[in-house]
Amino acid sequence: MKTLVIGIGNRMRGDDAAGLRVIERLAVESTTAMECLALEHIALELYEAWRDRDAVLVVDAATSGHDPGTVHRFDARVEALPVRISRFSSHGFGLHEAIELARALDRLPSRLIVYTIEGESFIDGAALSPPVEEATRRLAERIREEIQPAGA
Amino acid sequence: MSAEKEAGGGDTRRIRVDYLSRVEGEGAFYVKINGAEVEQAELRIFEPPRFFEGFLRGRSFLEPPDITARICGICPVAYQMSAVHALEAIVGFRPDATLRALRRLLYCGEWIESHALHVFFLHAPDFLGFPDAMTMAKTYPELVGDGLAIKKAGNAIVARLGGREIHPINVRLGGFYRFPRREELRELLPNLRDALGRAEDASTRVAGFEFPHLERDVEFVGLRHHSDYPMNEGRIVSNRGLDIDVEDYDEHFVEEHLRHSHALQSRIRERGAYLCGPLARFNLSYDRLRPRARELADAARLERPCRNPFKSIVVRMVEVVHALDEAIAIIDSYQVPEAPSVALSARAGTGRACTEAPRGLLYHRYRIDAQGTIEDAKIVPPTSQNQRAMEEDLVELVSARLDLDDTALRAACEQAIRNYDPCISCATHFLRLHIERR
Repeated sequence: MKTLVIGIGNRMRGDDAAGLRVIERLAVESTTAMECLALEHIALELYEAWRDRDAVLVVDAATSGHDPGTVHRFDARVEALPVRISRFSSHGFGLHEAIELARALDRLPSRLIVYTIEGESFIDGAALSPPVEEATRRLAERIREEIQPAGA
Repeated sequence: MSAEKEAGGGDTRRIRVDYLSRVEGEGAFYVKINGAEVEQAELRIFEPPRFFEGFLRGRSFLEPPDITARICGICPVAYQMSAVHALEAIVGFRPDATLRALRRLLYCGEWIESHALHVFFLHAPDFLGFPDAMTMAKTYPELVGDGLAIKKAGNAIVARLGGREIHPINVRLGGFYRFPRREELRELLPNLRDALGRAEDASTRVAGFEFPHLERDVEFVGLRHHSDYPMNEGRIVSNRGLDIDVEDYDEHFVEEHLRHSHALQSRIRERGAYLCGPLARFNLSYDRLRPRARELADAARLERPCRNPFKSIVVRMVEVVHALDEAIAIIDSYQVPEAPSVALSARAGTGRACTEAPRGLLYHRYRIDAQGTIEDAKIVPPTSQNQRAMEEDLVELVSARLDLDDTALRAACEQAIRNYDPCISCATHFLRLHIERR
């Protein structure tokens, strides 16, 4: 069963592209163990993206006050994301809301892990800041190892 | 933010960027109460100025449908419809029956998804006592599930006919870039029929909400058509005797820039505040609703006219049922046109159009030259037209509830603001209620 890895972000807004960058890195090496999806819009119906999937990883940028490049891991089956962790859509719906809605409607996959990368700046048109770029490299390796351990 | 640029020869050019581009603005509400009197009430909408009217100048008359659609992520179809009708008026194009029906179908899709998003995710939590839809979903998963299914059915129409769910790409002057095949539309029918059943059930529940008391004696303004519930065509009418052609819009409606708000506020010349949107449409065109929607309105005991803005949520459900019923009927009788849409040639002139966005009247006016270059553009969204009426609502609401503490007053004001406009209710997430009591 393939793990679905979803990278969420905004390509045009500095470190907000972190999740998309992780997907880009993962997609370089194709593998039968994982499928990648880049999403530039968090819809209310995010759960549609993981319909019929057992194992899902989500990667997004965060603004939670930690050092830029810090990676956090949450098991969304066990705990809700801290509300303030991610950036909001124009309606105030963010990743937290989309996951909580899925939870309330019993549409979470059996396994849902969320990785966040702390961003430094979210300026229109800017590239990823160096600590975030480095964090995407390390996180992509970590995800590859998590899904398909070397030697397995 | 500002940037400086040195040109050759020592002259300094200063390029100023005073406004960051944002989709939603913050909202604030300021109240000053003196004894038992509300002395001052201002709704401050910090939306950025509509530079769209500025940068449309010099562009081709073929571009506004795509450019103006970007003004709004929830109602791009409304911008496209007002744009094409205003520009087609200049070159003398009139849609035939099939094109007319398809444009209404597209608009139905948008009304359905926009109203569903608003009713279930932005407004219902207020009535049921929840801080947000996510929390509400824990107690009422079926209600939220219904809302999602209805919204999805609306999105599917826009995606299928418009070519994309957000900012459709298939709309052009003269029609569509590609007409759908019959099967492509018929595939939508099962989910539309399912959504219609859910909408009728949900309407009954919504009609059973508790509605704060507020009776407003205000001028309701909307389009009036000789046979259909208004969308793209009609005269502009009101419950106080207004009955004008769209061509005369600027003679009757003025926009003003008030100190406390970045959005221009509209008023009717010589009169004042007015209200457009679902409540106005219902009051002015109840007799044009499809029978299924009319029956629902009657079962919900909606007064005629309905003067309580808090009942807009019920009217939105009536409009959802109307739009689903009409969409199904249009798809059932749809036949692919024999010829593709014609490319239209430019002609110098000025064109105007009003269409009924989910939130109310959306007015576009364009002046183009003989080559089709836009010389001037004016866009008046429903938000700015309703702002004055919203402020007056809040004055009346607060005046009658001075005994409430600040927390309860704030909640009542937020719920009242949401009677009008999803974009504004985003702003009310950051609503700051300043109460000054003397």
